[in-house]
Order: sequence, then structure tokens, then C-alpha cells
Amino acid sequence: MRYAFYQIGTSAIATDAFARTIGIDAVALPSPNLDTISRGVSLSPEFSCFPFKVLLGLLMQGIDRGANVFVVPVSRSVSSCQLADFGMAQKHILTRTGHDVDIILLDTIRPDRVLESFRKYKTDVTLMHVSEGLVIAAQKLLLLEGVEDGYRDIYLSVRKQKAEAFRLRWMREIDGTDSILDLHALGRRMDEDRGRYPKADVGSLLRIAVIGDIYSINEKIINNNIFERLCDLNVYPENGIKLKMLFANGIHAAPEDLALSGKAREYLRHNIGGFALDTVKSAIRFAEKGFDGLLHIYPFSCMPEIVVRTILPGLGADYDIPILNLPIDEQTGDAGFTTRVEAFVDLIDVRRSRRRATPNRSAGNGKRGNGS
Amino acid sequence: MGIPVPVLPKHPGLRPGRPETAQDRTIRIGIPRALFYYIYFPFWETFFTELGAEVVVSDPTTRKILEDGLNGSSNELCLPIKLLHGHIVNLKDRCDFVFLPYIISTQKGSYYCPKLIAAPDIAKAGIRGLSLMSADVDIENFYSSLYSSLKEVASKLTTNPVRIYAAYRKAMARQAVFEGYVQGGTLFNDALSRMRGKALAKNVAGARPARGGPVIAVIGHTYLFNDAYISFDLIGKLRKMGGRIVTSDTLSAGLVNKTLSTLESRTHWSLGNRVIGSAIHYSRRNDVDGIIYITPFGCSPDSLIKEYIDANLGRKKPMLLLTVDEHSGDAGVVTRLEAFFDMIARTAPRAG
Repeated sequence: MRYAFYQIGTSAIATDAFARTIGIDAVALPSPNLDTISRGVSLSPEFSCFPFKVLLGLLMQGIDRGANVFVVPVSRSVSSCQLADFGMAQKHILTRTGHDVDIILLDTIRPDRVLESFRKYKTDVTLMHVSEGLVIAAQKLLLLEGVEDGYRDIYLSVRKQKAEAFRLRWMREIDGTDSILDLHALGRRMDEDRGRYPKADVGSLLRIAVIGDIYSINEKIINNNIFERLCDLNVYPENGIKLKMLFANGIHAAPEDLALSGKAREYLRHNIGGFALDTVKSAIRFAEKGFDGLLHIYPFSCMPEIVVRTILPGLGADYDIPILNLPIDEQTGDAGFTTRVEAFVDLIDVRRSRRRATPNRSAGNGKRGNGS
Repeated sequence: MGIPVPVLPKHPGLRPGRPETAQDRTIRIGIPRALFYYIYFPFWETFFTELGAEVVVSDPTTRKILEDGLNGSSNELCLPIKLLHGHIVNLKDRCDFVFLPYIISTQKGSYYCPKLIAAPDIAKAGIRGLSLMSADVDIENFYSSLYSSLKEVASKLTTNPVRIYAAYRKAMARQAVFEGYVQGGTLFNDALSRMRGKALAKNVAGARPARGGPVIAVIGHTYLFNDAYISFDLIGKLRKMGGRIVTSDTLSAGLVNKTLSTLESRTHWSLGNRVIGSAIHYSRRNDVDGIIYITPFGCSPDSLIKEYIDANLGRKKPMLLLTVDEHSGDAGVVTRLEAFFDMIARTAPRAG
């Protein structure tokens, strides 16, 4: 049995560590390219969402590399979007096209269920292994978040090459460390390294939070490398839906988070699945932090995000923050995407300078503005 | 924000503690003729009528309603949700509250589509200041029960728990009668007429007719094929062309579950499971000649449900996938149906 894990952005570093911990052989998938997309699109149903198509393409490339069991990291117990059905639908499609594959659902907050699914092929896995694997994977996702933040800060304050070097170095180190304690120490060393670079001048830069569907935000190839684009436009970008939420979705412990939930539920009363409620919460959080704009990126025909897209205009008016909705799919062109982002950045830049000129109407002070 | 609070002076009878009198104007509750109307209407109608309210239903879909729906909602939403918006516009000035429940799950382990769950939120975003009345229906959630959320809704009508409970029981009974009719092979509109004691039209298709034209199974979401306007009167057209109709509704829940249990896995969509279960059940039956699967443009659950169906079809028989949206034309549908009937005639010469 050779396994391949679903891959979102840099998540392979975490899933590989999980595979090593429980002792299975994981096939490395490439990062999605044009070939991935065209292969996925050719076999997918027309209205399935874009991530479905790209992931199907990735699985086919995984088959080329010898994988026959696919692991779908999804917590079925908390998230009711299409993601929970992806695996089976993809299996049906692959079976129809003559590939003999199996799908395992990896319920990230239930180690017992994960154990159950892996026991099917590998009998000597224990709950200890699985729990350790999940902890290490979660730890790595947290560290990767630090790497991306560091990359952004260095990119803005120093220059691109330095940022690339920083990212490359720490990704390699995180990938090579497979113990909970060592990862802990690594995190501290990384913070020290990050502290050696000058801080980005956040006060003078425009700040934009990118919110929306987790896959589209965290997979650079799909979102036209939006974070770097924003940095190039002299914008301080913030990721609203981070990869670690694959683990923490549904667990809202922080008091700040509870208060946000209350506000978010005025717009969206229930957790309708996917990352819809998280997107609404992020939108409110960054509006209250005084960000200058929100970029809502989601795949065409993504049900939870379309609901959010319907709700956001009213929310934007209440919290006085401009929002740009960017649906993406295989038809999205690079130039059109960039033009819209550039125009949006220009608009909020003008808006901010106008507000600075009239100080009694300070931009996005977190209170309900003149919209409501 | 939140659910708008009713303006009290307009409804003196609403004030808690005040005895109800005959002079109080009855409260009008509007139910849009869309989405869950086609599944739970008898329940809500009975419940509200029993509590002394007047139930108003929006008009059957017309060009105007559809256009209102298209103009007022985001263009990425699917047709049934856009239509819901149109029906609310049609309704909102004729009633005190528009009733729109948050229906999350009505069976263990399966949910409704996110857009359906959030339908009241979408309505609120589309029409600001709408007087909306809502209940949470969530069987999956241990802490909420249908009765407790009903009590919340009913508090606008009465504070007497005995009356609420009696209305709830009666509504459950009516719903059971309705479901009995529908699952016994009566189509939605006929079932409603039957509940009102009206005589049925002659050409109603039974589930297992003895002889006649081909038996067509219409599969899809009940709120799509039962709406004559947006489905281009699919059912009426099929009847005119001599088809006898069974639908994904005219099948008992037990039979659907039995069919689903023979499959490797099911989806976690309530409506989707019924579509899959009925499609596969009909495909295995010898007395069904063809299957028409009607789906709204851009329905993401349906696109994956089609994969489940394709992977598990019993016998090969003609299957037509009919995607409809606001731009579809009547002529296109007729042509495809005619071709479909020709295909049935060619592929399955009936023995009897």
C-alpha cells in the first residue's frame, strides 16, 4: 500500500510527518500545475467546486507515482461541506476510469476514528502512534504559519531574496524534525531568527485580510500567489483562514473567539459547514482591528462561501470596510485577477488618505460606522 | 440585527400576560412557496392555524416573482434560492411575519445544503428589515429539539403550553398523513388537494400503473420539479406526452434507506440521499422505463450526487440530465423530452 494525502499548500510537511510517525509510506505529490488542473477538470463534474477538480488532478498524478490509497484529512463531525463527500466521489470517478484506489477519511479531531480507518490496511498502528502523529502534524502546521508570517514581514521590510532564504531554511528544518520537543525548540529558534530582521512598518502600509475558502487561500497556484502580489503592491496582507484551522475548526476556546462568534451569528446563525462561519468571524475580527479592506477569495460553486458572499455586503456596510469578492475557477485569467486586485488596492488607498485628511472620521476604528 | 422584533402596538394581542380576546386581529404568517414549502408545508400550516394565526402562501411562481428573485439576490446563488427571494418579495407586504425556518438536519447523520440552512440569513441580507420568524430544526444537535424551538416561535401567538403542545401533535399527525399520500405515489399538488378533500384529476399517475405509456421516474429536488414554472411544467408535459410518473418523493423512506444500505457509502445530504436512493431503486426496477434527473444550474451537491448514481446504477436504461436555470427555454426542454421518449421507445420495447 502506498498512501497519498490531500495537499493544501505546504500541508505536505505536516502529513508526511504524520505518515512517518505511524509508519506508512506516503507518496510526495507535486504542487498543482497546469497539467494537474487540466487532468482534474477533464474528469470532474461540471459544477463541482474548483478544489475538487484540482485535488482530483493531484490524485491522478499520485497514481502515476504509485499511490493507491488516498487520505482525506477532514473532520466530518464538524464540517458539513462538500469536502466530506470529495473522497467517495473521487473514488467513483477514478474507479470508472480504470484505477483501483481506496479512500480513507482522516477525522482530525478524533484519533480513535483515524486509527479505525488505518487499521484496515495496517494492523500494527496504535492509538499512541496516531495521537502522536496528529500532535506533530498540528505542531508543524503552527510552525509553518510562523514561517509564512516571517516570509511576509521580511519580504516587506528587507527584500524578496532574504525572505525566500528564510522560508527555505525553516521549511527544511521543520520537515527534518520529527519530535514534539525538538519542534518546540525549533519554534523558539525560528522566532529568534525572525527577530533579527527589521520589522515591517505596519503603520504606513495598507492592511488587507484575505478571507474565504481554506483551499483557495492557502494554495498559491490557485490564488495567483495573492499574498506576494499584495506585498508587491505595498500592502500588508494577513491570512484570515489559516491551515491550522483544518485541526481547530469547530473548537473555539478563546474568549475573544466566543465574543466574535456572537457577533458573527447575527449574520450567519449556524455553522453551515466548510469555513463559512470562520470567514464571517475573520471578516469581523479584521474589520475591528482596523484593516483597510477584505479580499474574499472562494471557488465558483462553493456553497458555504456563496452564502458568505451574499452576507458580506451588509457586514461591510455595518463595519465600514470595503470588500472585494473574487470567485476563482479554471477559467480565471491571471491578468483579470491582478487588475481587479490592483484596482481594489488603489481604491482603498484613496479612501484611506481621504479619511486621514479628515481626522474626525478615522478609517475602520472598529465601531459600527456610518453604514448602519 | 438578529430576528427583527415585532412592533408591539400593531398587535395588542401579543403582549404576554394579556388575555386573548376575539377582537384581536389574527396574525398573518406568510410562507413562501419555495424550498421547504414542498416538504413541510402541511406541518407548519396546521401548527399556525391551530394557534389561531392565518397562514398566507405566496402566489405560484410567475415571471414577475422570478425576476424579483433574480434582481434581489447575488448571481452566484442557485435558482431555487433566487426564487425564494422572489417569493418573499411577493409575500412580505401581505403578512405580519414571513416564516422561514433554519432547517439543519431532520435525520441523524445527514444535513441540508448550506444554502438551504442559511436561507433565512440570505433573506435577511437581501431584504433588510424583513420581519422574519424563524425556528431551528436540528436533530443532530443534542441540545435543541423541535418542540423547544416551536415553543419559541409560538410565543408570538400564545403563551399557553397546552395549546402549543396540542397544535404540535396535530401538525405532526397532518404531516404524517401528507407524507403517507406522497410516499404512496401521489404528487405534491395532488396530495395537498387530497388533504383538503378535493377530488383528484383523472390523469394522476399511480406508483405502479397497470398499463399505458412509459413509466418515467423524475428524480431531483422536490422544490424544483414540483414548481411548474421553473421546471417548465416538466410533470405536466410528461403527462401530456403519455408518460406515467413516479418521482423521488413517491417512495417510502424505508425503501430509500434500504437501497442506500446496499451501497458502499452515502452522502451526508438529506435531499441528496433521497435522490441517490430513489434513482438507484428505480434503475433496478423493471417497470420503470426511463429516468429524468432535473437539477438547477450550479448545484454543487448534485454534481457529486450524479457520480454516486452513475457508479451504482442497476440496469442500463435511458437517463436524461436536465439542467435548468433562469435562462433555459421551454422549446429546448420540449425537444429534449421528445428525444427522450423516442429513446425509450427504441431501447426498451415493453413486453406487456
